[in-house]
Amino acid sequence: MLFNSSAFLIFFPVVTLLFFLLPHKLRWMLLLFASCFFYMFFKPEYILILAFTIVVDYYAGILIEKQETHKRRRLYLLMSVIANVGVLAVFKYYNFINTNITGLATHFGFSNHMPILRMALPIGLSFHTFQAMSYTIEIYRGNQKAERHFGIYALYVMFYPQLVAGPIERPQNMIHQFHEKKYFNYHNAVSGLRLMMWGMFKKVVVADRLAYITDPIFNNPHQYSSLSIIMAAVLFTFQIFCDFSGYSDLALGSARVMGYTLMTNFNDPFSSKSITEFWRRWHISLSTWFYDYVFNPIITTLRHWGKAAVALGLFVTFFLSGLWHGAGWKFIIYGVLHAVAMIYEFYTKKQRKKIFGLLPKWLNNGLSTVLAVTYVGFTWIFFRANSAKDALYMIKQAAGFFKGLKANIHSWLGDMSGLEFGFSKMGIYLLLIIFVQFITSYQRKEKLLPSFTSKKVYIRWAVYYTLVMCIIYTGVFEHKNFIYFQF
Amino acid sequence: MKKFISRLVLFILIPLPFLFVLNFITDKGLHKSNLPLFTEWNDIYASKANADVLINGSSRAWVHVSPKILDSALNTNSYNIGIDGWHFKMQYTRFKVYMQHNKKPKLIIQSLDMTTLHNRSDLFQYQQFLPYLNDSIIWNATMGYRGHFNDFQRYFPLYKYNQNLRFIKEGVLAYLNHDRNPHVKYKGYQGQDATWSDAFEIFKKENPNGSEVEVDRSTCEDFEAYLSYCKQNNIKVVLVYSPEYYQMKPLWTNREQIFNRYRAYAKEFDIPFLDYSNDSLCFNTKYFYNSQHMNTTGSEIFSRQLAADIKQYLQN
Repeated sequence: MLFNSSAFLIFFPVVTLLFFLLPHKLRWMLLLFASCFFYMFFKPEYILILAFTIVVDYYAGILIEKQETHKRRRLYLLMSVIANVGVLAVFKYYNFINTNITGLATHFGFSNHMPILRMALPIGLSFHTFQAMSYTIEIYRGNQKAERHFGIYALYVMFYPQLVAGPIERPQNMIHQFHEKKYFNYHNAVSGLRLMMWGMFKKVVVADRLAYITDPIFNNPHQYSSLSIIMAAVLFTFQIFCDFSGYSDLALGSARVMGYTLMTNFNDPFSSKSITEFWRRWHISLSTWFYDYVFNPIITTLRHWGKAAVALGLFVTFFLSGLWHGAGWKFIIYGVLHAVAMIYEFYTKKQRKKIFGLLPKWLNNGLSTVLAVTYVGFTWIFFRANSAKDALYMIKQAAGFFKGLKANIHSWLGDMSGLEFGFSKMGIYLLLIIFVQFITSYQRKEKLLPSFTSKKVYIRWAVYYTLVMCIIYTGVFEHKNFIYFQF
Repeated sequence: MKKFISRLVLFILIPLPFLFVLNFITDKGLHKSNLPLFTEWNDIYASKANADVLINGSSRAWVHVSPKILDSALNTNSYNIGIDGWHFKMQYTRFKVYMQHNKKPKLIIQSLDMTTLHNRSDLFQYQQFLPYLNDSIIWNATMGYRGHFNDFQRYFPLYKYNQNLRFIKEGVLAYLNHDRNPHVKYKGYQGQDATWSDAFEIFKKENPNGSEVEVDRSTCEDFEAYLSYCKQNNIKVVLVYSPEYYQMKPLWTNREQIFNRYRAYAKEFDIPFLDYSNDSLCFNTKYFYNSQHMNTTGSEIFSRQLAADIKQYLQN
């Protein structure tokens, strides 16, 4: 089920109301049933894959905890990780690997007879697989006790607000919350709904509107001019932020109404002054997952390598992060580009500080942010393009912008007229982007909420009405999927 | 929880009266608006069409048959309810609405084209239906198409105008009698002052082997039901295939099959089938702006010719 669908408009209040009407001991059942229903709304049979992961990790958790020797604990952890990665390998990476084997085999005059798997990728597979893996790893590390209540454990993996696109939770944060008795809290309910409203605004008013421009250009880059391609890359940067952070806000908000706290997934990423800082602010639950379970173990194990361990750790982490996003070379390139930038930042930290230190602080900050966000926008061309080939074409085209500038601007005007994207629309889109960025920055400084909630009720309600009206009357409700659902 | 629910209910209820009133004003205003998208529907719903001779069909009816010429040649009162971009299913819907709100015509000129018996998958120009979603005929007719309306659009005030907020402004202005849109159609007809474009060349390039039109069974059933209804109610029907650019003919790969169907209908229901696809007009691009549509010059010559042929038919 999509958060931006009419089905959710019924689902959410019904589930929330029932949640508070039912006694505590029955609530896990309601939430589990609701989560199954929510997931099965996409494609019912995929619940079996989820069920497999849940059963495997539930028993793996108990077995890991029971073992007295480190070796045996490790064995059960390994089995659990293999089962989880195996599911990902089969459903997400099999065809990618197979196609590449075929390519290689053909190159060397052989043939590959492995069949192609003809099935759609189960929605949110990478998210819940990673969440399930964090459970067994944390038990192995002794940070979490194995959950004996099968229903509660299943709920940890399946809790509907974060089931299909995160945040990727840790057992320490979630499992105890399902055991706690939740009481209705007026402020939680209001702030949860407020967050949902803001998430919905970002998704249907901004992100899906930007998609009207970015989709045609990314889907047919050969038909568009350099300037149009540059514009699409810039707009996509904001589209993906509004889309994904909008989803996270909806997830956090809907959980908060029931009294559950999910981890924050975004913290004003476009104010980052480096790529390293960007990854501390963007998709935080995934970054910390990779930090905890990939990067940290690598640098700890190879600490005698010195700086090289960090470089290797970063490369492996971001290579895997790229691969996590999707089975395709474009995602791998996307990850590697981030790895390269972060390794560069790591090795040149002192020199950059020296050079940038000569500039006034405001210029230093501004320039760093512009450079970081531009680089991130550049990498997103690989992320969004339909293939690595398309992405390379787009970059080549964009680079030729200054060749025949006049003709380029003329073609761009033609493209914009074809997309029905006139100057007034551009102005509106620009205002929307500035508005979202302004609120996001203000939110980070934690100034927004205290000042807003202290305002008179009619001012608060006027703001709510304005946002709700914008969502209802200007939102795009064509059941556009959230971009991160595909992962 | 009580406090929360009562506030939430209050929050929802406060704007509703205003939204319902604005929705009512917008719908009412658009019902009398001159916006070309709504004019025929508005005339039909307001019982202003009331024609003795009714012209039905797609855009080829809408831009080919001039009621002004028919009125003067036949000394009658005609109206063109041709609907742009739609095949017979929606033409039939418009006819049904017409019959509900207007007097029975004596004669129907049913304009045919190669795609009359086809059915499209999307809800083309869905905006034209917005002020009339409460009519069950429109509601049912628009179901089943890609992007069809939902209950929320039907019942939640103004939500149907999402993405089309300008219609709220247009509706309010029209309601207050400040509609600034000029009347561009005459009794549903709108001649096109356009010259031959490169659309046909593009079509040829994109379809070097021509194009086959898929005949939709359910549309055929509707067409038969329509002809039966007219026969039962003593409404004369003339099937008319207006001129199309001659080079297009061989590009319809199943043209003969479809024409045989039209001939069979004419025979079965004992009605004339006037085929102008070999008319002298078909051989000169100066009468067309694309292969299927004549411009004002062509359509006026054709309308006069059609009027003369209908006159002869009526006299016999």
